Amino acid sequence: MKHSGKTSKEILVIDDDEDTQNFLKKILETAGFQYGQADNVENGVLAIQKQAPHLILLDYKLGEESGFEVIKFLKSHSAYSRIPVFMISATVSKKLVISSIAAGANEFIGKPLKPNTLLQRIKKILKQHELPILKFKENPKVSARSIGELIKINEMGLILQSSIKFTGKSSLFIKSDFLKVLGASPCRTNTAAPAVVANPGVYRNEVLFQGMDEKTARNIRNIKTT
Amino acid sequence: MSQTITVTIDADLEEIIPTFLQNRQKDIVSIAEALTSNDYATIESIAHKLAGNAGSYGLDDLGEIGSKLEAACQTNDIDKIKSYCQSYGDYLAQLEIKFE
Repeated sequence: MKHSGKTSKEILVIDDDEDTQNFLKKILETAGFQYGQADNVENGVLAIQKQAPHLILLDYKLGEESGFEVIKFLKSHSAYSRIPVFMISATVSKKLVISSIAAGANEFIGKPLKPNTLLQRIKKILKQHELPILKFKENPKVSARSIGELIKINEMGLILQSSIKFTGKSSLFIKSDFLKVLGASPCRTNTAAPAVVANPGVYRNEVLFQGMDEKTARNIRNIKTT
Repeated sequence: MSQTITVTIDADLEEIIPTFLQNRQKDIVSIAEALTSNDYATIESIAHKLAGNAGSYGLDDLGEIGSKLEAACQTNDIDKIKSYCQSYGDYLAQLEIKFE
């Protein structure tokens, strides 16, 4: 088994078999990946929402349930629909391979698992799914739509959690239905600090409002939280 | 004098092999109980997991026994089921693992 350096990439294994879990934990951690685990569909979905993994290794047969249920969840939620999935099974049939790929699995891997082959396929798919890093010579104007979560807000600024990572100083022009109710959308903001990693692939960006009027600031101060 | 089956396994797996083998001993107990009650569905489930996992751990021949046992359960071939269950127990009794 080849060893490699540490990586921040997290791989979630959804499998109800202890021996498979132990085996995958060992080879993935030895290869430098972060390992997450769940043993049924419900726990798998919770782990996906909590960790937003870079890759899911999914057992086809989860007790009385099926790994297809997990793929169904992924494909019906845009925030997770791009997470690659390897369907794994000791049952290798043409029908199952075709139905797995048709459902949305990126690859089908039959057992027994061969560590070096599996790791090669993992590295290949992770490379294919790496997000592009944009570098500009001058300050560009870029528009993007992103599902985000507003973690905290006061009259000074807000903390936005999303898949966008701002590493340098940027001016942001934010449009939001929630901020519109407060009279604060569209608003001009500046990033206050480089983004912090909240979960793999999810970043927390702190931004400061620019030129906010007193009425809007009062609306924000009066937000009721229950 | 019983024979020894020596298998060489990747040293990276040394830490997790004891748990794997303990689970196989549990399989043997479960299979013995299932055989007395003609519960072939339980044996098939055990065989299915064995067929998938043993090869991953580097025990290809054991995985082969699992595959044959699973197939025998699916065709309800009682003689073969009993024969492969015996082979499973014998294999574990004779197994000697080296790591490198």
